Amino acid sequence: MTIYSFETAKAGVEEKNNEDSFRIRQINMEKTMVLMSDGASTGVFSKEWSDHITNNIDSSWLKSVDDLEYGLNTLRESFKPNITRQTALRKFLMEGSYATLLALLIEEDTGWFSSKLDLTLYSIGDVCVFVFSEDGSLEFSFPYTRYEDFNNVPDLIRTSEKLQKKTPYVIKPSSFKTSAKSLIVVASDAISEYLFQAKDEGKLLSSIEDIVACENNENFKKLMDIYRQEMNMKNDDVTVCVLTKEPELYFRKGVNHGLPGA
Amino acid sequence: MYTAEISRTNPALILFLFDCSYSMSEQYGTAKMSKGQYLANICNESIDQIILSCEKGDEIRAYFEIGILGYGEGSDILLPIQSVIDLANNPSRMVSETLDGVTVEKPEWISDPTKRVNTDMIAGFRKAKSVLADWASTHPDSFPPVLIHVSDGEWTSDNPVQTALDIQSSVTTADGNCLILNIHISSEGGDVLTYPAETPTGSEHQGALFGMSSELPESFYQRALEMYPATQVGARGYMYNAQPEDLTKFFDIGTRLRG
Repeated sequence: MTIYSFETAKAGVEEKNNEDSFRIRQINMEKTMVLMSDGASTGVFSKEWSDHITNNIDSSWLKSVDDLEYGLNTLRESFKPNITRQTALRKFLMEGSYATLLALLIEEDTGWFSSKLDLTLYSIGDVCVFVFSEDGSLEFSFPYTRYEDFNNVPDLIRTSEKLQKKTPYVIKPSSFKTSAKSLIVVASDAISEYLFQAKDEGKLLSSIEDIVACENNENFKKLMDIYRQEMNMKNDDVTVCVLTKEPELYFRKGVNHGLPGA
Repeated sequence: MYTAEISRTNPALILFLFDCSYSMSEQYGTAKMSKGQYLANICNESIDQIILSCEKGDEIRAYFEIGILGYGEGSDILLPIQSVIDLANNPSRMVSETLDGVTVEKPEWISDPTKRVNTDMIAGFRKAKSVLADWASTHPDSFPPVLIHVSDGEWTSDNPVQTALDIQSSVTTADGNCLILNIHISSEGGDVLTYPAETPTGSEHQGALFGMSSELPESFYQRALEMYPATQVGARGYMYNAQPEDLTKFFDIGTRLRG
């Protein structure tokens, strides 16, 4: 599978302070797990929390909502950020850290005449997945399906059990079967919101192509700055991952940028 | 207007202006403390909340600058304008509190500033005008400075309302005019008011402090509505005998509760 991935911090923020976290793990020859978590910038230790989530989720947790919820509870217990200052300790005790999550399991179902991809998805929050069919049309998106969905405050996974009980999250599950030739995009909230806007303007796939054409994070940062300034995209950390077995079906040229955090 | 993102490049200023006059030493309502002590508590709590909003775990980010002026017989600088990082590193004292069973140290910056003097409120606003104008001239692209005035409203000098209105009209950044919020703490009783849209019918002092309070810009109005659902269009930054909610909720520090 060819994988393109790009990430950049919000404008005015150093790249090391990008609070998105993204991991891909090859479970076996047929199975790939994609995890994207977006640490909330108003919280404390947001980057550490989103990294803790993506580094430690086990693919066996993606069997059911209950399994994932149980697993996330263990992550809450094992999260021990390095706290060296009283202000940080007080904020952590009062508010904790919070982040969203999109977990995607891609299983290749190889048949005699054609192969399929079985997608298993779980969402807490507003990181989105888009699936395009061979003809370039959008055949599936999750958990949101339209631009207006971003008006809602996203659910968040919190490190504070007390606050989580006060504002519980809902794990949204989904599954989708698609052609092995499909194009899959996983994108954090601000760029997802932008992509839904592009969809309404008939520019969705060309926007994905523009992203893939960036080839590196430096160019991607420039493109995101243009989107922010000219297209009204929200100033937020941005992460995008594009996966396909057939890049030439969708793009002028295909470049494999490797597996971040693999 | 009033949409500039607060960042390390373009920090925001919150300037407190405190009434340190004799009348502030009186008991505050049924609270077991003086109005001056109550004022100090509001201030320490607000500064603490602002610093916590800038705390990211590995560091405190310099999104805000804070200063405190006082007036009584003339005006004084109680705390020079400084970044939240310097404030966090230099409290005047620490008090212990327990959070989730853990004992932690909570900082404080001022104690009851009350002096047994007159209430030269206009001198306070004149000093504030000069300090705010200096700051705005060096931060032309920042969110407009916010002046938070805490008083029982009973001045003994000339009427300060026009001076306060002058601050609103003359101190500006590219993002708008200076905002003035008044926290009116009184022993006179009467209904608690939070961000009213119409002139209060109580004392002359209520009317004056309301009159010098800025109309909440849209972003502040929306936050006020979240905190106090009865807030009406045209609401002003005036509170009467109300415990101010987290003042940091008014400010767009990066993105709010987004991932």
